[in-house]
Amino acid sequence: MNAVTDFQRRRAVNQIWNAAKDYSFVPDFKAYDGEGNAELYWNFIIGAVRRHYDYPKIAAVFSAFQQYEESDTYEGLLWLGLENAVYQRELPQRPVLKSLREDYARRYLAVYGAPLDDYHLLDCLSAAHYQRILGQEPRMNQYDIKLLDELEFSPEMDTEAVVERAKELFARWFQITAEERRREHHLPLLFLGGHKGKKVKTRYRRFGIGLGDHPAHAYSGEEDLLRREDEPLTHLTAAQLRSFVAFKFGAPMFSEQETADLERRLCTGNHSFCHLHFTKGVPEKGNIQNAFEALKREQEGKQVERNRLYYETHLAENRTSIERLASRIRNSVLLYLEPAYVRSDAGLLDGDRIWRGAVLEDEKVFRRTEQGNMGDLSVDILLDASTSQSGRQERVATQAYIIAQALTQCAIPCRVMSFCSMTGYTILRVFRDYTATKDNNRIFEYVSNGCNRDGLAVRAVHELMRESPYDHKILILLSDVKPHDALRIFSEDSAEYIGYEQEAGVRDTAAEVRRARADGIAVICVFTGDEEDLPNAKLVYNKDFSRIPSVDKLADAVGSLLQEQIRNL
Amino acid sequence: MLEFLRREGIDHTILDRITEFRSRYPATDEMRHRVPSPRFHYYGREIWNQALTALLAGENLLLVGPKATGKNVLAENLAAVFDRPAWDISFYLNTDAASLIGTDTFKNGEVQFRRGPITQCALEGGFGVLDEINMAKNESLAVLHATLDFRRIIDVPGYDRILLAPSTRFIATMNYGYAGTRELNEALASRFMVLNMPIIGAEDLQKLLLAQFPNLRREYAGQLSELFQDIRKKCDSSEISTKALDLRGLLSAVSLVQNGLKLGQALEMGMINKSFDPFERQLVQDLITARIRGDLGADELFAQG
Repeated sequence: MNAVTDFQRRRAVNQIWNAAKDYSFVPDFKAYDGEGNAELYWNFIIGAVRRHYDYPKIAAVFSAFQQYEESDTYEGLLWLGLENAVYQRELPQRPVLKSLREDYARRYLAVYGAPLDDYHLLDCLSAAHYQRILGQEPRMNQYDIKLLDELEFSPEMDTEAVVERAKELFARWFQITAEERRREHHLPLLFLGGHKGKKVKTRYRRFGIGLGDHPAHAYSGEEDLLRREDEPLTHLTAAQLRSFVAFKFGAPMFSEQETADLERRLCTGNHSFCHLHFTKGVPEKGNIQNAFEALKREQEGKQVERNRLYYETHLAENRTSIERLASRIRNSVLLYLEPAYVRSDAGLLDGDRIWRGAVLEDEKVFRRTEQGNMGDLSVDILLDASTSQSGRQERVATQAYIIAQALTQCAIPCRVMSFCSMTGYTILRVFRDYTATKDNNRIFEYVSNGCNRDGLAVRAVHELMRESPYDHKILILLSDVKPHDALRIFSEDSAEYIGYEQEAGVRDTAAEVRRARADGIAVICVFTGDEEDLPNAKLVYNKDFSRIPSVDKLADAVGSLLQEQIRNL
Repeated sequence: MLEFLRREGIDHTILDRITEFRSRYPATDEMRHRVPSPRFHYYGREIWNQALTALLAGENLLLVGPKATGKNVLAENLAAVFDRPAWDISFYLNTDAASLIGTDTFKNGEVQFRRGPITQCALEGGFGVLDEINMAKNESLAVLHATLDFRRIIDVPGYDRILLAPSTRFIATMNYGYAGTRELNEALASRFMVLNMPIIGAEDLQKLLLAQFPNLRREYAGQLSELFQDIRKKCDSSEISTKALDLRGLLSAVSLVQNGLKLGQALEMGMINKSFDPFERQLVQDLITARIRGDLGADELFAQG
């Protein structure tokens, strides 16, 4: 039995949402078949329960079961009862359910239909229930038949009635009889992690003919949107962590729903336990929690001052750099824009060729301009804002400012962002947006902080760029190509979790850069790191990177990188 | 067409004025082939009222709405209602003045002006459908400013000033937020009356299906239109792209069943396979499975006789 894949999990969640006609919650319990594929019929029922009943009240009953060793049996029984009611409620609107239900019943009976050697209450009742669905007469003792009759809730009952009936039923039947039936032992647990012998309940346990997914917070009744299935361990709750990040780096620029949606799409594979925080650095209201944070904030304020001072001190050479870079970009754009004229039978009359029309009956006496525009060009600049850059923050900020200012002078839309990672979050800070030409000054607010998960950052920026309206997109990274983050990744080679650093980190970053390139984004790197990390830069960016020995070389280096990219458009 | 409008409950004064318009500007025989005869009808009384009134008042229309809201169906229907020849002009990134207005060409030993679709439409007093107008660059659309506003002219450099025939109307469509589209600038937008196209409701869709396939059993028309709403809901929550949200595909799938295919296969071709991402395809497949049986054939889907 393989673990359930991300793909099937997303699929199950979607099946539940569809049935619930509501996409605003994270489903807790999900059903899979024996192969770990999402089980459509049961997930439909799970979703429909949300639609027809007040789910938190039902969840409370499920949650109460969890304290008993036999909880899986009780849970299974309650689901049987709910299935009976919800099915009948849904049937008039979805006639197809009849065939889906019968199909499931047949599949169930094919596996558990024959009398089992070992009496097993849930299996027996389930089999009987599915036999009834197929119009067969179950063979069971009167006692069990009566329990099944009571369990098959009728569709007319509302949430309160269902909850009341369930409480009463389980109290009456299992308070009295549970002791006698103890010999039936609990359901076999499916161990995925190999905790042999321990009575630890694993997340994926048998449900129907397949598996049920019981994440840690199943039936907690929580409707927390931000909560995801596999939270990394931290003493803060998900919500606390999020507000900490927002307080530290600035208010989120996307709504909760949009962020959740982005995380669903981007935080997969190597980054499946990560979170994203996009911000424009607008301060969140709140108080600084402790002295350490207060100190940190003061230091950051000083760093911003140092960044500005550094630029001011070297004002003359920085301005020259801006001018040089701007004229270089302008030239290469102009060169590219040089319209190509083609001969054509329609267009602008070409005086030199008109005789050909009269004499040779060659009608191509016109010129037509082609490729006269290259469409809009945009440039995104992404700064590595991890602690490894702490010794050169002023320089990085100044370099970014120079590039952005030069692009601004050429009227090329550019966006400047920085990234760093902390407590599982990768934070993307936007200093200046495409059209905010007056915001270049804010680039000096760049300060380094925490780790850097380069792969996820590139992936997130890639996604943002995909949504931008421009035809040609260039991404410039100012980075030391030294990925490092606390959240580890699973290595296929060694089949264990390894750190997100060195070779693994570089490989992941390289893969993301390649993906962006395959998507038509030109990715270039201004290497800010030390000699020893140069091979990493080569690995990730091939030849499209440049090492800047000093700021005055920046214009030429970035200029020729950009020129190369513009030529390739 | 007028009969259909009457059934839809359009105000009779509007209908009278359309009849008057049609008798004042009858389509010539040479242009008759350009008058569309729509395969689908647009359903929605409010929209019809607004669109007809605007066109009768001499305004141009801009139809704005997401995918599968019937923008082009309405545009085609409108040309048919007014009995005018139509020009379909698709806009794309490199649309320029020459491709709209016309350009020089060489014929019979002399340079002549070759009319573009806008010019032809203007001379014939037709209905120009400017499809996906926001795909083009705003700058290249500047040539249309004088055409679309009160001046109603086309000034071709080096040639004449062309006055729009009085029955000329332009109907532009745009899909906001579509990949590659851009914001329409104010100058252009102000030359149109803008209609926000509502999303087709389950009931109207059922009506459309039944009008298209009179034999289709009512219960299945209901399930198919509900299926379409299920898919839209999934698109709205951005779990899938809008590729599978394909009304044309749904209608074609039903017609494939009529021609002998099983519904499951037909929907696969008409809707599921519009997406090329396996995950997305699986999600759409799940929606279909949870809605309607794939092994339905013509004998079950359609009433006999």
